[in-house]
Amino acid sequence: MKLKKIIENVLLTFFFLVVIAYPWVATFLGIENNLSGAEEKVQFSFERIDDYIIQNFPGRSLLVRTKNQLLYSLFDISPNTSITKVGDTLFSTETLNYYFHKLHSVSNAEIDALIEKLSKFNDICKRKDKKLIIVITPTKPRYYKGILPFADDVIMLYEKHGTNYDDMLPYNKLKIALNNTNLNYFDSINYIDSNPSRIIGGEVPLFYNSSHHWSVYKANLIGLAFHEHMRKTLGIHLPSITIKASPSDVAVYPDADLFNVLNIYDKPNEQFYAPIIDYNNYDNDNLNFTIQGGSFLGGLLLPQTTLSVYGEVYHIENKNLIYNKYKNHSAFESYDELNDKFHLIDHLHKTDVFILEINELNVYNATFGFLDYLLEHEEEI
Amino acid sequence: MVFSSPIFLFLFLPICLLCYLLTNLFGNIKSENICLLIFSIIFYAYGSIDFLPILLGSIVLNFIFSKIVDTVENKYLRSFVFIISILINVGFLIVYKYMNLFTGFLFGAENATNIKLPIGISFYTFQVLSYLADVHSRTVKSSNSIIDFALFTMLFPQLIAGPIVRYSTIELELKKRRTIFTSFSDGIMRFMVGFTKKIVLANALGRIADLAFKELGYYDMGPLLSTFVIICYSMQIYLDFWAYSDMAIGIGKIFGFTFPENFNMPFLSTSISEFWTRWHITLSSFFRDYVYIPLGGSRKGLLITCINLTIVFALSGFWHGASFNFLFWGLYNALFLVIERIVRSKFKIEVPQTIGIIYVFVVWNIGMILFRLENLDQIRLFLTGAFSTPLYNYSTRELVNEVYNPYFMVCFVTSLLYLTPFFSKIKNFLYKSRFGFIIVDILIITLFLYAVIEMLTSGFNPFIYFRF
Repeated sequence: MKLKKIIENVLLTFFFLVVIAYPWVATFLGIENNLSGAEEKVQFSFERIDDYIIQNFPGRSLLVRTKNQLLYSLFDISPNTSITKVGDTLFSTETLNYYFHKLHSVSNAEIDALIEKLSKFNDICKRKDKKLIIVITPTKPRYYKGILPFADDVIMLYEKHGTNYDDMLPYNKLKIALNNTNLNYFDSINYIDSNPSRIIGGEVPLFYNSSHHWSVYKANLIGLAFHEHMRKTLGIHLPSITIKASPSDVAVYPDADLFNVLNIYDKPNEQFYAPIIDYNNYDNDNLNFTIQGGSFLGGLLLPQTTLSVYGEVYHIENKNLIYNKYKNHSAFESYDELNDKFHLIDHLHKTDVFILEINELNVYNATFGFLDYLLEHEEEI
Repeated sequence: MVFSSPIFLFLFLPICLLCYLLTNLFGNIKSENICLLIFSIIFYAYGSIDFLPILLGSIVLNFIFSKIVDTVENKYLRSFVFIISILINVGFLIVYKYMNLFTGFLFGAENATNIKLPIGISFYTFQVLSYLADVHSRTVKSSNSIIDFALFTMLFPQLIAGPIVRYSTIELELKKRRTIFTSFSDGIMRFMVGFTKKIVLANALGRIADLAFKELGYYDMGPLLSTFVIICYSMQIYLDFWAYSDMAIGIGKIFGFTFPENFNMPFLSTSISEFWTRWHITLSSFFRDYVYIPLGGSRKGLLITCINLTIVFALSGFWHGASFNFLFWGLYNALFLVIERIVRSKFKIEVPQTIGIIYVFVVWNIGMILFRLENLDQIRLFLTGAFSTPLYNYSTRELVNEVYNPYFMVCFVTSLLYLTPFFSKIKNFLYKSRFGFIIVDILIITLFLYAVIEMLTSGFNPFIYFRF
């Protein structure tokens, strides 16, 4: 009995001391904190000292990955609340919330305001001999309503109140409004719906289970249609391109972006494909572009075209500027800062073509304020 | 500072332990007490530095009062000083805890005072009140050392959320105690169990309750979901508080103190009166000894007993929070105590144990609606939703998904088992076998490790960089 108690006391005390000494041990062993995903950076302050310690905890990545792997393997759930797991398919929780109008349902007034701004900017472009093209992009939940267990309930609830759920979708409202204007836009959602066998069918999925964005290969295929649209509506010369899918063990970015943010030891369990793109000869218009849009739009912009055919390109992606033929990028806080550091207005002045993305769920905040900035600096463009 | 925070576990506790062990090796009981007092001051100052002078002032004042009450021979003067000291302490509590409520009630919310509540004031005030009452009744001698008295009042393991420790309980340990390896490791084990209970179980239940009450606005949940949510909330309160008491008792043991137990399987009670002898025991016994018995207790007939019970539980309810819903909650409990008292005195009914347990569970959980919801509007909304046909909008569905989450179900079932002696029986059974204790220890260690990881990682839910 006495021996039992001694063993127990030593075991518990030793272990407890090891745990509370862990941060010092992890620092000594140099365990790195490599985690995927974006989180708010906590600055050191007395009020947020716990958050600061947690964020900078030595060996945190080991703990996070171990716990997440446990939850993922034992309970088959997403260990990250920002990600919802339905069967094998991952969704961004925030996107689902937007799609089901939990976070922001777009009003007709917001649509009207956006169209008014776009029309105004389009008029400016016309006056200054520049072109504007708007690109509408989709989100994942649109194509998975069948598997989302709560989708039917939500849709039924709308019907119960005499409203058609589809009519409430920002995309449908936006389409109705755009059709009453002479704005030049490329509707990738409509293209997908019109070409289901090419885009939705086939070996390569439109969306991987592991991704938030559309698969790079399928996005590139849609990009061909976007090229065709630009060729027709803008009259610019673009190369002829063929695209093939090649099986790949590794996901091309961002084909497993959601899975990576789970921060587990497992690798995504699906077959990925990488696009192989061939180009024919082309005439080079050497036009300057200003592009505003994220990874959905990024998939449509075929690399060879953007790198070789376009002249100078400023690609603004939320709060990042990508420039110098996509070789450099820089984060910024405001467009004024961008102008100070990278002479944005000079570039806008030189720009021949503006491409602005409107993602169907981001209609209420389309272009993240860039359109407003353009309108504010009308004279300088 | 809370025990389940990284700063406590990885910074405060190791440094405090190290300093304490050093003073233990090279110093005497005085230096140990000074060491603990310094760390208690740091502990309190971390969470509430603005109120530290109030606490320290209260300690000095009450030390002087206790000396006067103890040493003055004149009976009337003693009682006068005692009453003044009680009025000052209760006055402090009223000003800091209830003034906002009273002024809001009398002059409207916009004209209410905006006094911040000092952390732990309800606990340390009651501890000091019990001390003054015991000194007055000559149950204990007043402390000769202000360091000891200060340590009794603000010893960090029980400073913020109890247990409410009486001076007589730790009087000897303040003067002489041995920090031995056995009590050290027993304390560690108790702390680990409490920590795990809080982080893994109470927090999981709390997520459901918060989702329902904070985010969803508690409408249209229907009877099943509403009941489930209330049960989750009730279990969260129990496990959270019990876990905190476990951690406090455990840390106390590490430093050689024996604090009283605060919970004793309350959900095995067969009546509400029994429940209150098993739930928050140190508070119940405070009210019993310092309010109920002085009022006459049950010695003055049924009517006075019922009135006394109502007074005690109204005060107890109000002690839990500065809001009228807590008063109603206290009165709600008093109602059942009074009914039980009347039924017991008039009829000799033997209620089967299972029926009694179910009765307590139902009554307690209904009471939790009053405990959680702050005003009549909220209660009305909740009850309307509870008795409506559920409309699973997207938000409600989110709650349903959380409930069906297998990880949560494991936590929920484990929590339910924690309401029973299941785990202590398993532990006793394993301890009887030759190496069973190793299984128990490894389980405790593993779950504690998981709880530590959970504490450090539960807030890490990164986004991919969304670029619509």
